[in-house]
Amino acid sequence: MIQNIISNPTFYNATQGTVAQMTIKTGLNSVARPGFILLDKNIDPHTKKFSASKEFLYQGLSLLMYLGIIIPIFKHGAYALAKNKLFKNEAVFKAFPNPDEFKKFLKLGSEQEKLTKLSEISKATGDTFNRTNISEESEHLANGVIESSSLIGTILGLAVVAPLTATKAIHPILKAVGLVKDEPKQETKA
Amino acid sequence: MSLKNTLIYIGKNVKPYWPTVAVASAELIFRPTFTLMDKKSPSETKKYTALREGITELIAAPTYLALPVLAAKASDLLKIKDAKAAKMAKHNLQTVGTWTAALVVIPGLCSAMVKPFMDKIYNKKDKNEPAKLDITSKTEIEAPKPQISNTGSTVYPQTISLSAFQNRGMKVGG
Repeated sequence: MIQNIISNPTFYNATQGTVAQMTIKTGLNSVARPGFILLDKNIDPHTKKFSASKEFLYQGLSLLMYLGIIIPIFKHGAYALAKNKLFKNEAVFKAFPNPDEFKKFLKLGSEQEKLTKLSEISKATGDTFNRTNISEESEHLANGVIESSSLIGTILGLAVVAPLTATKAIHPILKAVGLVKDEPKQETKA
Repeated sequence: MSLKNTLIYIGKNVKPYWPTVAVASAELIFRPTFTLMDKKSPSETKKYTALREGITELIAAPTYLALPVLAAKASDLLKIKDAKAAKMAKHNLQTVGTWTAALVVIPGLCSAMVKPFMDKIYNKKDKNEPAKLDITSKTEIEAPKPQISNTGSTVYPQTISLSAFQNRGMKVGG
């Protein structure tokens, strides 16, 4: 019973890959971190509201930026580079034109399903794809291209780009919803 | 090791906790650096925030590594016979370990360790700091107030007599 829950294939497939892991983790952070701030009894209500909103916005904006800009550039860019320049003779990159198509193939449960998919692609493209030219090693290569580029994109996106850009967008949003007020300018008498 | 072999290795062995450990390690360097680079904040605030962020990430990076590794060890204890099911169990437990670290363990460790550590450093620093000569704040020496005499004229009291600076006949050298 416990073994069946722990080795659940749906959970396994849903959490495979750098992008899925970081998306879920950042999503959880956007709920958990403001939650921890709101539970803190040592902070006054206004500061709590401000800090929790700031944290929620930071995590949300980071996630949007990560999924919308960083990952498409790195994941799709690296896959295109591997397909057109670095490994243009590898059949795996010819069979699967983009990383999403390849990931769907990788997640197929059985060897039989993979063979069926390869014969479907062969019929559609006119080329021959089988387990001889798309071996397990070819799968690891294509997966390595996707995962390493996603990993570099993740580090740059969440540790460098997001802190530099998301923080600049937070203040105007908080100001628009009334959580930050402009400090009155001090008048100096001549 | 060629690029191809490296990519094959990554594709074959990628673990669910790699990205979280990598991001926490990168943040250990970049977060305090960005804070210290901020020109708008006062120097002491920057140092305090950077140190606090550094300690937080110093706790987060090894925790993100330790919990999934321990969770994977737990999956070995279950002794799942089917190799595919064992692989999935290991992955799933590592993922749960990462989430537990992010949701409960790291916030808990940080709230238990960061503030006391910061207080210790800053209190110690305050005690050890030598007394500084205050040359910036304003001195408040009351100027002598003028008094109105019976005749109606204004009299300025002389606290130091001019005669104090007069030559009283002392000679140097003879």
